[in-house]
Amino acid sequence: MLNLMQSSSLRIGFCVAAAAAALAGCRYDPVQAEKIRALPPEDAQGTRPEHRAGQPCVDCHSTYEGAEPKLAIAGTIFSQTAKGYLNGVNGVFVTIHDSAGATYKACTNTTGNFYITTADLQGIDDFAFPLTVSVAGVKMNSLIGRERSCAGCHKLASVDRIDRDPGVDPATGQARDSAGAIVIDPTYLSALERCGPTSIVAPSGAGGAGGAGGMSATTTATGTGGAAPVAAGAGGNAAGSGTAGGNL
Amino acid sequence: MSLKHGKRMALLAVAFVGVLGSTGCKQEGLSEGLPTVCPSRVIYVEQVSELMERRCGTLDCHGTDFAPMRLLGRDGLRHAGEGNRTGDAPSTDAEKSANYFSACAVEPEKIAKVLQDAGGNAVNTLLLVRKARGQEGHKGGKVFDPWDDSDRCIVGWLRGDAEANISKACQAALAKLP
Repeated sequence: MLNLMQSSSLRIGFCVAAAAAALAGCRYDPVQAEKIRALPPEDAQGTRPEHRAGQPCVDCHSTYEGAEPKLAIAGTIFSQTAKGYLNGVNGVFVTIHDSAGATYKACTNTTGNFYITTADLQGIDDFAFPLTVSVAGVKMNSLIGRERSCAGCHKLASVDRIDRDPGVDPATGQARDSAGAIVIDPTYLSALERCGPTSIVAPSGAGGAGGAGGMSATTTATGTGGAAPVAAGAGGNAAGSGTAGGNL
Repeated sequence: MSLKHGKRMALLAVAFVGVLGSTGCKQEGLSEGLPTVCPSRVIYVEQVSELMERRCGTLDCHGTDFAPMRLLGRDGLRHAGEGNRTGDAPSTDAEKSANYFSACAVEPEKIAKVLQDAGGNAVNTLLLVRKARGQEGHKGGKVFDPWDDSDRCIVGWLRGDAEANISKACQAALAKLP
């Protein structure tokens, strides 16, 4: 009797262990895990929204890795100095149109990072891919098929990449397999394309109100560059800025 | 004994090099053997390639070295032997030809059957068509509706429609892309 009970407990235990192993196995994605492992160490920004400029944000800010907030799309906008160095551009709108006709605007923060969180996609589960994007009035040439991290395709230069492909532009990272950093010239930005200011010392809760015709801005916890859906054709610009909000 | 052993080792080495060599030759020859069973290369290069480059060949989809059906082009992955970078020079003939081989290599035997079944339903069974229509598992989901302009561009090429019709469908599809 005891043996029978022991045997059935063992069987149940085995089944539970097998199920747990199977679930863990399903979740583990070696490709994604390797991408995350290959990222450089955390920078001086810590885990603030300004951190890891130019890196593929949604590799970690995803259901897979679990970093918060979960991001629907994110990237970094740079300008280039005369010597070729890249600097993040603060306070510029990135406009994203999805295939269902929805338009979203996100504002870059002090390191040029912008993002739209999954919570910003009010009322819908996800973007309708493919997406089109414009920054500073310049439309991206290609569609976005499914990549949520701009840096997934707009890869920066790195020693590894240059070792593998000498054709990589050492300044922007542009190569045969990458469009390179997203570089704009902030000198010629019109007022309509500017947003912010996006100071990270802003008091929380002072998120900006949407511009005329726009929907309410969505602010982030730290009050930096946020995002908001915009009613198509309404002309509203809703910036989730901590200090001044939508300032157009 | 050691002489025999040496000879055996030498034979093994030669056989190993031979196997390596033949494997390399097979891969080289694979794409070159395909055009005999694939629809018009000229029509693909002139009419179809641009649509597939722009709609399917983005860097995050088929424009990557890791995609089984790899597509090359101006705003996606560039040809490894030409020194161009993404977004720079227009798509080259070599890239469009490489795209042709990619499309043909998905199901070469089935494509040959489609060619023998002009106007028939065989085209609807191709993975190339079914994936784009969302009828088959596809990471990019449904890309074309059956018989919309994009679909008719590709299907028209596959089943050997008149070039004027293919061109009309491809141009209409391109005009609709954002």
